[in-house]
Amino acid sequence: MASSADYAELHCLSNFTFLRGASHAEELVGQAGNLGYSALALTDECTLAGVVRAHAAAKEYKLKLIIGTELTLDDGLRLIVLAPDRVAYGDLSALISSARRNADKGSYHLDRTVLEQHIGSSSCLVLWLAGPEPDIASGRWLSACCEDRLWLAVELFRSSRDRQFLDSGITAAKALGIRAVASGDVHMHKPSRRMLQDTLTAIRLGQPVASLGTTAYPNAERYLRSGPELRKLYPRALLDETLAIAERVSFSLSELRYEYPSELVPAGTDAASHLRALTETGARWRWPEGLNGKVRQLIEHELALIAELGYEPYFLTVHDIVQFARREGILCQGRGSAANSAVCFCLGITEVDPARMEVLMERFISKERNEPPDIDVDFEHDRREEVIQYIYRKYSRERAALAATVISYRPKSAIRDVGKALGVDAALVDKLAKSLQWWDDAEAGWARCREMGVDPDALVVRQLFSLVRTLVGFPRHLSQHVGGFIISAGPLYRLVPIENAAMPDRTVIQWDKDDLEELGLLKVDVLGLGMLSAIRRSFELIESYSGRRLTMADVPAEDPAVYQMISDADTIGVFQIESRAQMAMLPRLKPRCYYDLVIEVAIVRPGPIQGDMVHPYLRRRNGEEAISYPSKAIEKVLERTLGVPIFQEQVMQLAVVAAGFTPGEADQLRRAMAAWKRRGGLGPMRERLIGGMLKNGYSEAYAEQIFNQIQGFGEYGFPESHSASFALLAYVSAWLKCHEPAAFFCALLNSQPMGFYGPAQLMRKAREQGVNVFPVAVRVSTRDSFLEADDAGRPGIRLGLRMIRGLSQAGAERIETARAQKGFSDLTDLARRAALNQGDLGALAAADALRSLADHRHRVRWEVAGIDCGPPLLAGASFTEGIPMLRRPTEGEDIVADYSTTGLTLGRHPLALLRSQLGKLGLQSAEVVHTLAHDQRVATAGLVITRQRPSSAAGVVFVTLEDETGYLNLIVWESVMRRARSALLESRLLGVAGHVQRDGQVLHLIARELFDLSGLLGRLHTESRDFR
Amino acid sequence: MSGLPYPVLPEEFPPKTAAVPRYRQAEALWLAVQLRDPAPGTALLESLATWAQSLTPVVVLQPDEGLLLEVHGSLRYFAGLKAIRRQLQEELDRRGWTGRLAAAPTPLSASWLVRCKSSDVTEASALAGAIGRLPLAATGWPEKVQRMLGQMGLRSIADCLRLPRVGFARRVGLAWLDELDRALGKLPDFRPAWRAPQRLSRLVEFSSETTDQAWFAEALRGMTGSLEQELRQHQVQVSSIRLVFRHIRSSNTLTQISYVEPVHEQARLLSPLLAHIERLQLAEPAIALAVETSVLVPLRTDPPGLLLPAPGDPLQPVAGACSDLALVENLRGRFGTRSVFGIDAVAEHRPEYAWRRRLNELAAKKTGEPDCVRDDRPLWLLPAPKKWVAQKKCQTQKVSDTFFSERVESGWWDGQDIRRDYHVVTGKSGEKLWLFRDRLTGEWYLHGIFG
Repeated sequence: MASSADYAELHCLSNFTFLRGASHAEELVGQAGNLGYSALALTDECTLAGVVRAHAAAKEYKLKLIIGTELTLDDGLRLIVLAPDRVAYGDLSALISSARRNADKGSYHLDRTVLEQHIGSSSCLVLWLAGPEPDIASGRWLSACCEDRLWLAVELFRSSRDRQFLDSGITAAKALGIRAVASGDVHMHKPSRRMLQDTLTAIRLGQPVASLGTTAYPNAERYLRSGPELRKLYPRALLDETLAIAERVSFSLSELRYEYPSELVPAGTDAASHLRALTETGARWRWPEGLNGKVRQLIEHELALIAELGYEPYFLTVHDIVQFARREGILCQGRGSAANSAVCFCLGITEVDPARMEVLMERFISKERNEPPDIDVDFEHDRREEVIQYIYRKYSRERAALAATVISYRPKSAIRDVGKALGVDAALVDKLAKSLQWWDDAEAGWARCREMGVDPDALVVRQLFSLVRTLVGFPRHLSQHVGGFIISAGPLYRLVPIENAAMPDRTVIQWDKDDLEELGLLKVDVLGLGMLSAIRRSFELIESYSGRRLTMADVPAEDPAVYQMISDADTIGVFQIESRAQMAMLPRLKPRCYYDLVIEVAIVRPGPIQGDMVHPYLRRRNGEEAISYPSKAIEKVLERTLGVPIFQEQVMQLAVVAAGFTPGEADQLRRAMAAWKRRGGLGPMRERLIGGMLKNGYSEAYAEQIFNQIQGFGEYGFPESHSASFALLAYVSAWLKCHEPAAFFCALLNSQPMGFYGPAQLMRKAREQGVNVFPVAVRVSTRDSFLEADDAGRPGIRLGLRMIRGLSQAGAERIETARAQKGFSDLTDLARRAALNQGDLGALAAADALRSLADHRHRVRWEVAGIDCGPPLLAGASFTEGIPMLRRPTEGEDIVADYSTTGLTLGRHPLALLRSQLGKLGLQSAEVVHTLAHDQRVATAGLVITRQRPSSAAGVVFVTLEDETGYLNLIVWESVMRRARSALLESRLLGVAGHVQRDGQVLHLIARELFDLSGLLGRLHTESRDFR
Repeated sequence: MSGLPYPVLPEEFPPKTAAVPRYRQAEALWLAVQLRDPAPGTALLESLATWAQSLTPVVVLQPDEGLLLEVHGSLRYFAGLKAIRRQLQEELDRRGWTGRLAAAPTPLSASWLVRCKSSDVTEASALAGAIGRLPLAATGWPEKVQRMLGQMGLRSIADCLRLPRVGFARRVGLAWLDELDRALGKLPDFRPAWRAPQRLSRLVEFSSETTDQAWFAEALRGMTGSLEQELRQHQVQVSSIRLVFRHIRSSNTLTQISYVEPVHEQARLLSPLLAHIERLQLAEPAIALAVETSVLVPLRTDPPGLLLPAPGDPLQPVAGACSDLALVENLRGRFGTRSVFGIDAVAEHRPEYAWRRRLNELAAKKTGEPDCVRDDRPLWLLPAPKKWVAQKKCQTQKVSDTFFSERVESGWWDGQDIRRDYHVVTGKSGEKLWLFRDRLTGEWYLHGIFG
């Protein structure tokens, strides 16, 4: 640490004061530490969103961090409020919550009355930002409100009037009988952020930086200045006063103690007894024949650990939420090792039997860390809101709120904002932003500039990229976390400020999940999962046509037919194992039991792939490589994955059994693994791990191998406990696909959007499996698709009205209501009784849903356009018209119309119509390509249905093409991508020349040349699901 | 049926038996010019239209697209359509522009044809067939209309023409049926011809060559009097006047006189012109003197600016303000327009950018503009900062006194970034100097002197 600056900065904004602060909180704390500041107050404007990061950094730099905020009242009065103790912190948090809750998202509203209510009788310290000409009347009001807790802040920035400002500040302070203090209105940690600060100002004000004029700051003086520089500017007394104020502050965020909700414990008992009672009841339900020793031991171990750390209320809270969902018939499932514990199995939080799993509970509950468990509970995605509203009802908005998600600048948004601020032509900025993909770096940015004819060396371009580089990662606004709830015993707003979210009736706290974790606060993740909705719908559809009632627990386990289907990679629509990469792995891994699925779900992940664990595992599984273990202890850890670490828990267990880590230390290793690519810092862990293994008698080579595997895992290791839950859903969905395809695909259709494939691919697959699919028809279709018996009495899928683009939900509902009363006699009857407007009628006609009421699509459109949707006065009026000469649509026109209105066609595949043209170009079908041998050269073409660029794949883009004969997976190396970027990224119909790569049943086409054939599609509208 | 949202039309329109005579299209031939590159902005179109008026008086601006020329009457003068097309094409080539041409008997059909790169249709009888072949997109109808027609299976204009007219009007809209009729010449399609901005001029020829200022003054009085009359008659005014002295042996002498604001009164017109000729030294006697106005602008009766108080303001009579303006105009007449200007304070931290010349108005900020004039800086700066070698007598301890320094760091966005510490220093003779130290080089510069 540098020598003391004898100064505490009491007015400092980080980039959580959006578009004002130009430095990260960590940078500010680091620089203040380096300059030897006595303390730093982080005083972001009406927010505490940055304080936890600053707190973590302050611990590292051993700097005293003061929590405060800058506020501007509605009448212009500006002040800094600092929290000297825990009670004052609560007052400050409540004040910010009040100001934020009284305004729309992103703003706040505060007047003197509210301010006085919150800080009048509190111990908060207040710095009056009086400005160059202090308004004595305001000063008097503040002085009366804050008494001896008020100072006048003098802020000097090397303007020619500094002397005048200083004199007027000191004079005003004397007149009010208060002390003056120096402060710096810090916006950046170093003056080098001046360009960025000006740019942020321009973005905030929505005008180019060149026209900011004197609105921008005249210099870069709002940075953390050194002691000598400050002493040149301020009288000693004003600097000393900063130290006196800092001395009065004793509060640290470490003091925050979380109190769990307690109302779930019945009177006359305590949380531990209640949890034990519920667990015992659950155990009898789960194992009616009695518990075996292992499970009993596990339950006792877990209950003891939970009791030791006092987490019973947390498990009771999750149990209560899950019970609510079950009562309401909402499917749900917990995830994570805490969720997949024996206790959670007994509580019904998860369906994964711990007897079948090696669960390392320390992964989520760590004695060393004293951090709470983190159970994720997935609910049906379209009924999750019911669960959220239940939580709000049960605990009230004062005690429950969603965690925030910090939305940060990404390259595209940064380019747009900075480009606009620099006055770059809007069209060019737009083009540049669109041309960049998430993986592109600065080099790619230069390349895109050159392609657009822009000189990358031009001043404005250099400035643009330099600013974008710094701006990326800056927080831009707070959004709501997908489902992370924080629930407290007392008012939450005294723990952390609460503000309004963009959605009505939603509130979020100002901290995100990392902040909560840092402070050890409990969070319950209430997440939405489309597959759960699809499974529930499948069960309902099965019951609707067969009367057979199914639940997740009733689905027959370990069905060989299901595993055969999975091993054949016939998994379109199946949860977690439908992606191209999973499909390529399935025929190699050939899952035969539930645990194989657990491995399958985890192995196709960046961690195992980059750690080079996939091939050794497959070789050992296929008996091509001997399985050996260096010790019995390691055998116990790696036995279930044939000696290859695949799960995150195994890496942690290895550290425990081989290197002597405690479970808590192993968790630190996990965190270090997650962060080393960003921050480095695996060094001490490496020494500790290798040293420990050597000490335990392992060879250095083996220790190095394990370390390298851990390093390869990086942040992408997938926990077995998550995989186990996912594998269960994968199995259930595969069973449904195998045995109840009509219900399964119909349910998927009604749960869209979800998964890797769109309606066109799903319906195509359903038809391949022998399911009849019937078109949308206004006389029979309901809003959702449903099962309708085909001629043979088997269930087919009747497409629902919701498939029609442009048809309003209300319109669809009115059609159902009107039809329930009486069938439609003709178009006019339909329009009148269902009160459809021209928009709805046009959408129905375009989707060919009115075919039963008229001759053909074109005529239907004509008829519909002639229906008067005006006032009832005209209803029934008839007009004499000639008969239009409208031709029938061609097959191609029908296909184009089908795609543009419902996203799929029940006619032939569009490429079937182009086959002869494609043949003339020498392009083979996917079916032909699949017959070719390894290394054979071929040219083909297909509709692009997905593009992916896994972060583990070293720049490779995977593309899935579809034609009338099937699918084809392309591998596009980075060199080819660079050459044919626009064809790759923009084609709807992509032509490709390359050679076949075949590994058993798995075939890929390695692209050598790519060409855009989209022109052949004419007006056909197709969509691909890219880079999900 | 008056409440109907659309008119109910008979199936044939107009009915064969109707007493209303069918609209008879006069013989016409429209040539559509579609500009491709550069983008057809108004200024470009007007410039081309000005030129095109040499081919025909009827030139119509098609915003964002091009021009329409009615060339039937010009065919004889220019030896046919081919020659007119060639002249137009040559003009486009000369300007380095690219564009397309198509001719048809109606303006709408010419526009549609040119959009589809179709060939000329010169006979009215061939028009229906020719435009019938065009795709619907040629009409430029709203996307919603085109989408609906597409959903009915209609692809070409002929497909539309085959539909029952009443049905078409009810479903698609009468406006688009009318468009079809206008394109086919069944309905009139009146297009107001574009008129170039007008200027006025006057000329006085002298009985002999002269350099006599009295002659010139007399001529100017007469011409400006006549101008005022015409300007008043048309309710327009001018912002500048060009004097053209014509000589027998050499080319004309030209002088531009600008007014502070548009004027139309003879006194205002004349005064700077007289001031100018007072100082005039012609190289050769003039045989004639002409005045040419700038483009005429409508007469405005807005309240004048700050230095021109509103009529009735008791504090500052109008006459006084007018005399201020007249003074400026006279000075400009005498010393040249660019020599007399006002200054604007600019909201900028960099001193050299903190003011700018105001050429066309007096130096007065408008109400509501922020006050950017700073009293802690000299009003006049040196044209460029001058390197300062410290002279003993003016070195003062105040140079190092922070309270007398001002730090300016600004301007990175335009490549003129400065990082300076300014100081006020007392010079040898007691004058207040404004110096700065460049924070990058450490060198001192003199930037201004306080008045």
